[in-house]
Amino acid sequence: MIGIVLVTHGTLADALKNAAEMIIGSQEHFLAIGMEPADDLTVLRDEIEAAASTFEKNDGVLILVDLMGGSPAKASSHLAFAGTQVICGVNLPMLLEVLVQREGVTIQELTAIAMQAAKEGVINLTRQLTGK
Amino acid sequence: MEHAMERTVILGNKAGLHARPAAIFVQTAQGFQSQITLSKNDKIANGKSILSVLTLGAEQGDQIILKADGADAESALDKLALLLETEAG
Repeated sequence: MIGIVLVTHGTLADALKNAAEMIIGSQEHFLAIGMEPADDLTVLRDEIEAAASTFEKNDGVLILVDLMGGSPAKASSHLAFAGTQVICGVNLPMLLEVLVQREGVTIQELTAIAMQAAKEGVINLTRQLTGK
Repeated sequence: MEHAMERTVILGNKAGLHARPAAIFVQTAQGFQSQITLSKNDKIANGKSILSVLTLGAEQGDQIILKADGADAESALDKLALLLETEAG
């Protein structure tokens, strides 16, 4: 099973993990890392790399970051340069689909699933229910 | 022997095929080789995608056509139809 590392500002990673597990039950090989304002970028980077290398030993790792350009993204860029798949813009639809589909797929396939799911999960409920 | 099979079920779960029941359904479907689809009226959902299943918006009492295409189609239908009709349905 591919490991998932969530990296975000503040408590978003924990909250996303909490919400996802409320919906689909507790998950293995799934780590949430939140960044506080005073956190050292180097420490954060090391934390992400430690998590990633643990998961690499199994079926590989996919890193999901909240926002392009923010510190979580910067702290993950070292890994991205080395070829680890890092996706910015994580939302709950992406996270759910990734968690449910990460067995028996390659990292490339899971990355594509993640990108697609994030977009497909954005739905206008009003329009769907009322047509307006 | 590979073949496509289908079965019509009535969704049993009070809360419909949402969140946790949908997740249980999808994770179970993942365990089968067959391609799995669910249809409600003219909407078709991929049984192995949680988003696809959630957006189907299936509610209790809805008639769902469950289709499986592959070597394990029959056992997939047996297991998944039961889920829809009872606990995770």
